[in-house]
Amino acid sequence: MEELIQKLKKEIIEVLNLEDIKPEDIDTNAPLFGDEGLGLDSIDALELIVLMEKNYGIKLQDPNQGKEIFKSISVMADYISKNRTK
Amino acid sequence: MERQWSGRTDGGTRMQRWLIAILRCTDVRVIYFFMAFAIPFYMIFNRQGYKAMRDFFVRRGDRGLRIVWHIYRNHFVFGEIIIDRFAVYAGRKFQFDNDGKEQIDDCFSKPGGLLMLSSHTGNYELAGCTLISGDKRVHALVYAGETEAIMENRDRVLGSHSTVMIPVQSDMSHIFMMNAAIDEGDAVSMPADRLFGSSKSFSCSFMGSDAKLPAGPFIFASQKELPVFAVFVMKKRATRYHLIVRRVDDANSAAETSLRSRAAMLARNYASILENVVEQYPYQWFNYYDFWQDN
Repeated sequence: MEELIQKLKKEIIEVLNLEDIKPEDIDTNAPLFGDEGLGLDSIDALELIVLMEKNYGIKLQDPNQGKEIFKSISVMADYISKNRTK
Repeated sequence: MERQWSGRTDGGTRMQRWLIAILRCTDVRVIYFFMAFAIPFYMIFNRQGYKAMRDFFVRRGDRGLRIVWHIYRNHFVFGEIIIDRFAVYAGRKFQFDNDGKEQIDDCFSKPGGLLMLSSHTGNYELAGCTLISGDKRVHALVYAGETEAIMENRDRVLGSHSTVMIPVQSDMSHIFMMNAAIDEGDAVSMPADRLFGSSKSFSCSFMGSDAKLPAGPFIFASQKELPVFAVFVMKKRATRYHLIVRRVDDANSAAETSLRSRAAMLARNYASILENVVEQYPYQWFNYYDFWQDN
């Protein structure tokens, strides 16, 4: 799981173009959206949806499910490990 | 601080229902006539809109009293367009001169999703009445603040033309719905001239200086590798509109290797298309705020 979390952090930094952030700067359990944690917004959500699809073969179509999955890096990693097709 | 759009057409539900009822039995030109007398009051009391339009026409090289006349005409056409929207809800038909429509028709007939970009120029909502999307549904991203009367009539009129509304929500559910629509091979329509939902933007040359266009539509198109169309429905005469469709993605944008640079290229292409349309129809620019400063 730790390996997947580190990989996910690197992918998020790359896809969201977070130039000033290093993987170790991201708190695994901090919220991804809102004022705390990474402070991502709706465009970032779109990029995360596409990342999940392209890199892990996971299609997220239910907004409620998506909100749960994007709570934090650890929740995302947990969901990916259980549902990935790639 | 990011500007928040209420997305609400003026007037309450009851007034809007009355207007629809009147338009069922009255020619739009009669309503235009009475509206002409109300415009000066609107110009006086809507100071932000007046100032924005004054700056817009100064930017175009106008001076003196010509500016006041042009602001009047801009407000008048805006009023006509709002009335026409209600006229459509009342069952009125408009004629369209098509320009470039065959490009999007071709895309509608092929499998796969596509992105249609709208702007606050002309009467984009009427595109839903004239574009025939075949088996595809058009999922239109709209601001969530409209009245019950508008939402009901939009659903009724545009729903019969395979258009489905996706209101922008703070819980970001619209993002999932847009993504699902594209995955199903449908079309998604969204505004590409105002920042909303995110402050991320691309700076593009527009009418002599840089303006920020929202990054969302262009990143979405780039991520999903979509064909992108700019669609404008510009008023020509009382009951006639000019439908303009332009392809935004081209060989240059396709040649860009990174997602971001491709998205930025799409934004620049769109700004150039938008500028050409606004030059052709300057009275139909309806961004009533300092577009270059505030965006």
